[in-house]
Amino acid sequence: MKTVFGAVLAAAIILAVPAGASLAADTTVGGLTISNPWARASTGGSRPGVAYLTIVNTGGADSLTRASSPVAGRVELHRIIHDGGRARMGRIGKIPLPEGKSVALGPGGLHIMLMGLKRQLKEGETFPLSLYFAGAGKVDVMVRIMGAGATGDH
Amino acid sequence: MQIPPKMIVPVAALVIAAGLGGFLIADTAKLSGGPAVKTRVIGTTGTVAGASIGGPFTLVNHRGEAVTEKDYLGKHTLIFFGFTHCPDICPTTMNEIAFALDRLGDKAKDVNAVFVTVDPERDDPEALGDYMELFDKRITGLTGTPEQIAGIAKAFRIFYAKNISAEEQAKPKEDRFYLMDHSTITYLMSPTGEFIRHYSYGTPAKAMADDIRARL
Repeated sequence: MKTVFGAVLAAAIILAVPAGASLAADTTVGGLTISNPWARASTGGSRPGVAYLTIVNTGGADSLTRASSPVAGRVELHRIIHDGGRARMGRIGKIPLPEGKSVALGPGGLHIMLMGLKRQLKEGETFPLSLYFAGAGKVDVMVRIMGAGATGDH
Repeated sequence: MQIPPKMIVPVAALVIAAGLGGFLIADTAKLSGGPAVKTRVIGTTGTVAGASIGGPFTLVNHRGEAVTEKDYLGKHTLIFFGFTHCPDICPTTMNEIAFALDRLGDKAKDVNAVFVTVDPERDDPEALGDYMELFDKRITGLTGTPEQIAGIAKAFRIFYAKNISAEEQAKPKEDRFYLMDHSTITYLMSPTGEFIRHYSYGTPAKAMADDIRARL
């Protein structure tokens, strides 16, 4: 009995650890799970900020149509197109989230651009970001600020 | 993933780069979603790779000092092009270069690392100085007049073009926000100023550092 209780207790602790230890907890709404929202520390002046995150869609097809944040005057969805050593940045109307797929926003690909920053984004701090999905509606997440040149993989 | 039409209007597209020994077609309509306007860029020379990359330039560094290509002779030089309002690509490259210099340890002093802005309109020496301070003081920022920047971009076959939305274009000039589309490669030049090779965007710092160390 004691052993069984111990095992249950151990399992409970193991289950509790990931949620408690996670710096940026996942946010799940319906079939969408938004994980690891992070941003780069801002670089001053009128320079824009940038935020990244990963969206796993275990439900039906959806799309991210826009985003907003109290820290920015305007927030846009952007995509970098690499073409023979050239990068072109383009605003996109939406980011499709196909059924059963994971879509990662990250450096060199898709990103959320934060224009007209109202405050400095300092490493170690967080800020709120609202994501608007065609199907799931509005989802609020907290974004963790990393270094100015963070790439998320170092 | 559709890019809405009229969102991006390539304005004053300074198409400088050229394919090695030939020409290439820059399909600006691909991104703008606008009419299929193609820009043909004719290669400046038909010589072998390397022989025609680099050359003389006169610019100003982020400390406000006038510099020429001669200031970067005697050491290997990493040279890359970007702009400080660049939220995504340039910080990544700055970071990889900084990490590569870290990995070179004591040898880092034998390498020049140079960031040339393609946005001289906003990137004056002071703006570049603030930017270098944020990322890595070992990297030197260079700017100049629009003509001087066009000159070095041509010498290094760098493409750059202002990227401004129709909405921003409609605003008074001083309120306009824009981005720059640009070449993302980093060049390695020899101590005598000759092109050695380039590193594509996304080359990990370790790979870059290992390659440079083997040449020192």
